[in-house]
Amino acid sequence: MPNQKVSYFYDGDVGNFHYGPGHPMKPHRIALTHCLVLHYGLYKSMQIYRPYRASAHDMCRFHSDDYIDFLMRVSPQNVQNFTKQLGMFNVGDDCPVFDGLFDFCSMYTGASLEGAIKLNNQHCDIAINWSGGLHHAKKFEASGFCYVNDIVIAVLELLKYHPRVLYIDIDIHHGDGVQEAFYLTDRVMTVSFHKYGNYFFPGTGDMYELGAESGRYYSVNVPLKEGIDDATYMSIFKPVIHQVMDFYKPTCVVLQCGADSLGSDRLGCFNLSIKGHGECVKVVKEFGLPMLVLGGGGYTKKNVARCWCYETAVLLDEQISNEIPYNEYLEYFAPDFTLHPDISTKQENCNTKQYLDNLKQTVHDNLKQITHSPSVQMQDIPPDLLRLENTEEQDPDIHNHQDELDKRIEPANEYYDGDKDNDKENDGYLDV
Amino acid sequence: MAEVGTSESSSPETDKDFDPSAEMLIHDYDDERTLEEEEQLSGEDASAEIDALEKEGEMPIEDLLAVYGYSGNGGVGEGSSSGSGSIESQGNDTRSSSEEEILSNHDLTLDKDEIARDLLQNSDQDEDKETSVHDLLNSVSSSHTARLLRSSSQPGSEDESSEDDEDYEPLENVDWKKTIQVGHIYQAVVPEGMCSYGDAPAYENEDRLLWDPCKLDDNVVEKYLEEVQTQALKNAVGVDAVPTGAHIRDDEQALYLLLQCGHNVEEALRRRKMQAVPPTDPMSLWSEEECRNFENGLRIYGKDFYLIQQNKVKTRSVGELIQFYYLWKKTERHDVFANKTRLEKRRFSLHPGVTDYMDRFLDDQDTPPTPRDRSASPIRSLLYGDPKRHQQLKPPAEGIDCPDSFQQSTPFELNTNTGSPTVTSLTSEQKSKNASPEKAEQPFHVNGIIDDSYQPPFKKSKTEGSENPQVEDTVSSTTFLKSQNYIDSQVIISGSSSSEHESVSLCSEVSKLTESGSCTVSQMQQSETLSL
Repeated sequence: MPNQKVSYFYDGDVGNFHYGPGHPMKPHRIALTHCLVLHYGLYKSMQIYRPYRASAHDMCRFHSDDYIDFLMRVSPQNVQNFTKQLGMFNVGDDCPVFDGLFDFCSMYTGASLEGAIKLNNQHCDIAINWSGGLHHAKKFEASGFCYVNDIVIAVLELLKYHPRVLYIDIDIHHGDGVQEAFYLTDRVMTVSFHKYGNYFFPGTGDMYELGAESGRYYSVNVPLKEGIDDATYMSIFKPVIHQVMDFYKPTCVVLQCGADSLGSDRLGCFNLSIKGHGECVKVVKEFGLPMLVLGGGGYTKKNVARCWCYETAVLLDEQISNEIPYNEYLEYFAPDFTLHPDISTKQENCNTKQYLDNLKQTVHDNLKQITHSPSVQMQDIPPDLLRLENTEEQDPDIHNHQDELDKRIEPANEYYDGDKDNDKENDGYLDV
Repeated sequence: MAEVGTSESSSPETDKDFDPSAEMLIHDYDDERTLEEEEQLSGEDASAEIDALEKEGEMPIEDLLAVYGYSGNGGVGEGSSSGSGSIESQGNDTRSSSEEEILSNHDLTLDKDEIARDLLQNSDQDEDKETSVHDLLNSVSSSHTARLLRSSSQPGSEDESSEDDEDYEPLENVDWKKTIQVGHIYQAVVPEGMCSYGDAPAYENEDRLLWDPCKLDDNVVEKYLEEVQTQALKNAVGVDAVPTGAHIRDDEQALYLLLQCGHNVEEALRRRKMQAVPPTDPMSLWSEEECRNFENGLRIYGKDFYLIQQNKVKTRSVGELIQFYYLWKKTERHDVFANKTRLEKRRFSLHPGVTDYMDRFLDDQDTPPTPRDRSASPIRSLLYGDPKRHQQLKPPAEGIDCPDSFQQSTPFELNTNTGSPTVTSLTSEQKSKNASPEKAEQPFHVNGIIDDSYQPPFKKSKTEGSENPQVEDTVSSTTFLKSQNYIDSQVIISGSSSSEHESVSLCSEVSKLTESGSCTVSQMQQSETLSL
């Protein structure tokens, strides 16, 4: 497989926000992740962008105007004037008003949106934004630490160029905001693996939530129980993703890598290791589709940073050492100072093989319905036409457009080489 | 009395009609057990059942009641796909409809007393009938709306059976599940077909490419970074001169410069040399005063950086405070602060109503996870799953900001802390840091009025996993430097030393000094407060 070109979107200020005393969501984990990426020398292997900040206009592509207007205007100084809206938009306990709230939203949303634009322009094959992935936000409601749903906005951008976008969510919480946003459409398939039941947030994600109307069977839910480990997780993740790819044939993938599915998470109850979590990224990457990789949950800061740094390396096909290099935040990785410490807990794995087999069967049965669904247009625009169109449309953002285009040719050639390789293999096969 | 006799004799006749339902009442639990058995036997024929249930969802309540009333056993098959909650409600269901039957049947007998008595008898047998009927109506009507897309509850029998006891209240079971909302106000507007960027709105903010790896060979870049790093070390003065480890790390600014120079390494290096003064970092040095004000603020407001900024450190933005906080947190200075505040916490714990800020402060320490069931949390809030938060909410009256009482209460505390405080709830990491017990006993006083000689802020000299023990000579004790790339490098210790061992001994010396200094401070304050 040709080496995929990776772009990385990071705003140096995005870590300098704080949800308030005692709040488990810490934007600083993004800065911690970035620090590791730098010190592991991964930075120089990627195209690095300081992304632009999303405007209210961008956010209103999904969210309601009055909600965004409220987010823009509310601040710790004037919050007492907004008591009515606080309740209306569910801003308060889980989603507090903090200093710089709107800036924070526009940074992480801008980064995701720009990632989508770069993918559309084929300026990269993989776009990474660890500050994004806030999957709970609803159209006019904040939820579960999420205010603006950057995923939905990025997917809407991807839909300009992609007939079918696949959204995969490995956060421990159900990706309800994204699923709800695309519940009635077949152009986006949402697949979420999450803990379900027993009052676990957000309370949606039953395996019988399938989507509705034209979107029926385009919402896939894999409700899991607490304590799932690497092997068990992979035993369901891999087959489900392969089936989804087979049946849906997406042209682009958005992967939400919420790190609260790791063991020892402050809010989570799964038991994945950092390698196990990264394995999911690897599985998705191997399909070679354009990919937008986002962050998400993750409430044990040091493990979030480890996890996302490791996954950056996975996406770059680079090996990095287990020993964390010296850096300004080294103390946070005490006492082991390694990338892969044992973070498993004593939590019993409550997912029986029978239960998972049942899940797999259900998912398979539902996916089979897709082919019978009359509303699907599997080929909206021939890919060639798309590329032609692309060359004609000069993006105002891009300065050396021709250069970028030239670069695009390289991977295509390599791919052709790959085909040749295949031929050789075939020859070999025939000889035998 | 005769009437009673006749009613008793006539009741067997009327009883015939609701005899089965009385049986239902008695065998209520049995039915459930058979339900479960059936459930396990029947496996999952999900889609048909869902369809049936959806149909039911659209039925008027009366119809639904009637359906279940006529065929108490027929409902069993239907109910197998829905969880224990709705099974429960079906049990109620049959009861209520039988009640209706009673009513209608007794109307025929035209004996109202009899009806009343029968009803009373009935309710004696089953006291919660009234409420269960009410519950039923509620659950039916709520599931009518809630079911919309969620269809039915999970059939997973193994899951359900273990929860039966907890789920006895049918309403609660319905409550935690949420539905995906459907309607144009909830969904994103998905554009028809695809479009190109020609008609896209102009984006208001520019992005910037900071580095492009495609132009140069990896080796060239690495050599460049190495050059930059050695060059920086040569030119560095003061704290900048601290080695940051043998590995070559990616320097954001250097790479950006290289990009700006059109990937011309020589040009980039030349320009870098020309910049005698490195570009001023947004996070310039923090003064001792700022540092102290920050700590005071933290003590008073907890980790409310907005309030700290507003009231204590106006010279910095909230963002800068937060960035500073995360670096400060892993310094010796923080340890001293934490010990001190912990001591104060002990005093305040004797006075309910005084805010326990240290809890908030400490909750950020990464405590080793204790095995617990975090899966149970009220569904409305992601936060409720947070075990730390539960601890935090324990103190009943938590005044949000009461700096006044904070100050007022201190005089009374003076005698309480003479005993050696046992430092509880320390993480293992913290414990190792606080190897010297006298540290914890420092009788520091409130409000952070600290002698200037108090404590040079120095970085812990622990360097496990790093190549160089960082030691620095003659660095002003009043600088706490904060720069993107070099923050790590400060180990500010008076006196120079080259081995970790030595630096440790220096540390303890310093802390001893500090201790004696702080003792005098606190003594002074004691006399002050006593005179109040």
